[in-house]
Amino acid sequence: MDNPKVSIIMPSLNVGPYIEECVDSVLKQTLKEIEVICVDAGSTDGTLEKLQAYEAKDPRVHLVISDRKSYGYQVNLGFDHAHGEYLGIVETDDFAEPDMFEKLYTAAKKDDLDVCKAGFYFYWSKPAAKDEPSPIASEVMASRVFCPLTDFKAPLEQVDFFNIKPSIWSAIYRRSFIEGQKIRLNETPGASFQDTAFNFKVYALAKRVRLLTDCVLHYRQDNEQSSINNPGKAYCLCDEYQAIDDFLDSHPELKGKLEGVKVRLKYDAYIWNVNRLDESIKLKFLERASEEFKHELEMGYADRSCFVTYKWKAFLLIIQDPAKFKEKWLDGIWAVDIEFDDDTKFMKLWKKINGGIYCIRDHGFVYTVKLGIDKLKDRRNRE
Amino acid sequence: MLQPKISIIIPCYNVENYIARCLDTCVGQTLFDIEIVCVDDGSKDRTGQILDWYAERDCRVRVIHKVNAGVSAARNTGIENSTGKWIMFVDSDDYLDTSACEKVWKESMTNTSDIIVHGGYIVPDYPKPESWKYWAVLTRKTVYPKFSFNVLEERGATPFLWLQAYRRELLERTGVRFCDSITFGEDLIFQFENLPFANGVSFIDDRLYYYRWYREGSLMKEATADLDARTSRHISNIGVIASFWKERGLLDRYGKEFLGWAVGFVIPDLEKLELKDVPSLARQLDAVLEENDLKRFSSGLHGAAGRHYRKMLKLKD
Repeated sequence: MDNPKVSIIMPSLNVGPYIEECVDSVLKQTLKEIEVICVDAGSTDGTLEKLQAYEAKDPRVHLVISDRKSYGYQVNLGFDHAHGEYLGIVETDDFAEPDMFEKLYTAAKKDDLDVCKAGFYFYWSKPAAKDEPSPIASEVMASRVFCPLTDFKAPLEQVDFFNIKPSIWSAIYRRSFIEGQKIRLNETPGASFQDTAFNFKVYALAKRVRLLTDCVLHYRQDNEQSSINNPGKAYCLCDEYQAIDDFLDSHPELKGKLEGVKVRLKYDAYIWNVNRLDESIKLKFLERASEEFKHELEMGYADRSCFVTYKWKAFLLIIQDPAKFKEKWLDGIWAVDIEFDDDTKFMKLWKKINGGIYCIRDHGFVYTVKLGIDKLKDRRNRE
Repeated sequence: MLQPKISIIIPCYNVENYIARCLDTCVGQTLFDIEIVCVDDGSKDRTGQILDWYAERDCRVRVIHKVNAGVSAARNTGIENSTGKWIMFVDSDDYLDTSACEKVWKESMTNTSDIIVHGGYIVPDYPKPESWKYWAVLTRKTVYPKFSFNVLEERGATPFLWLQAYRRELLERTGVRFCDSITFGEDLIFQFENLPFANGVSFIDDRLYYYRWYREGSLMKEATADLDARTSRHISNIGVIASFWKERGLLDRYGKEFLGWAVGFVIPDLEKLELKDVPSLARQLDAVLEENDLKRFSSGLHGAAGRHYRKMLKLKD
């Protein structure tokens, strides 16, 4: 085909049990003018042969063999081979709804979008097939086109937008945008969160982004080889954030606007990462996070307005004392055990005395003492 | 389908001079992911047209035109027709600070409270509003993880509805709506029926709301012109609340505090205002207390509450 509307990149490595369901779901799309670029990194479990069969059968399928086993490198390779107006990615253990690309492409064309993104389903095939919809936008958020860099007045909402699950595979990207801005995935080995930095770069540079309320893809949760389920890759996230730092350094016009957002995203990602790590390396990872956060704070990059209060306090605590953070947070009382009041002890006492004096004036001494006892009881009940 | 973060509900009735400012501040909120539900309660002036004008230009604004049925029914319609996770009420002649939704939403992420209360301003400054209004809109920063009667006595908890944001799940859980038949003090009833069932109430000290306490031809003003009738309505509202609390078994636990609150709410009015028929009002209150079995708690009252209670007994004879 000369001018496919969407080029779909499908990076694969040893996904024998799932590949057929996946490729079939893409080839049966209601949007017919597509090109499918399978980038295989040398599978040994029959995946490669199956893909070759598809290539022989359907002229829209192109098979590219990657010489490196890297998710990022594979997708980049796919980008290089693509001719479509828009680029999409489908991971080969997931599968798409039949009208996925039609929905995305129609919306993208209508509003002349750089990026059009939709929600997805969490999918379990065992013990029984189960879909759990995970929409990414309310009707309100889907009602307009955003420029993520400039369109948000509330810093927290901007963070929220950047923080939408980095499902780079439930979206399509304009090829001229990706190529013009030279956005590439990080080419670290294997599949290790390369979506993080890519997602950030796309949002930082895109001028027209629109979210859809629909769910369009089934995201498989029970593939044990999936990178999400692999705690071995403890420090891959750090590489991704290093890549984001490099990206911001090379785009000084974005740096001032997005440093705060970046620090907040990094905090969220690191906390998520600590959660799934093995007990033995948790503290080590936290110590590394502590150093990085300290650097951010000292350079003035960390922006309090991008944090919710308790997260900001957690952020500061990690910097001060990672061991204490681990202990407090593991006990599970972290979110509750926070002093909201910033007053010093003296000010608190002063306020109490003042309140007592007013109370005696208004209600009498006996009442005040009884009220005091009530409040003490109340506090004990709370504890 | 994901819900918008906040629904702002605005009941509108003949407010063509004020509604534009109100909607401007709603549409101009720093938080984008909100929806604004305006209920046009059968206005006879151009209010409806102005609302439609806004709805055409911003898809987040939704207008519901209905025949006039009072502010309670309008708010209920708004609740039924909104989808947001949080519900904020704004009166059509007041207006919001542009960061109001953002701050409420931010607070909602720090804890699991079902109700968030913020502070406000009273406008205009002249003529001078009553001093209690100044105090009632000044909140302090605190969190009540569980209900205790102190919540209701916290500044901002009562009586102003528009200082509060409710989690939709709470309203669905309690099933409490505004009482259509009551046109005065319906917000107080709403608060007393919802607060005890909230999983925590947060107060933040930001002042995010501008309350226009005085305007020509305001509904409040007409309703408050007749002091006797107003006080009598206060008392009957206390009766409504008390019977609700009794039904849910709350009076057994908070009977003493409730009795103290009720007499403290009415008796100072009886003493200070120039009412025509004080004894009959005192008798009305007495009957309400009797009806709900509240008098058994009178021995536990101390200080001002006890004084008020004894005063009531004296006044009714």
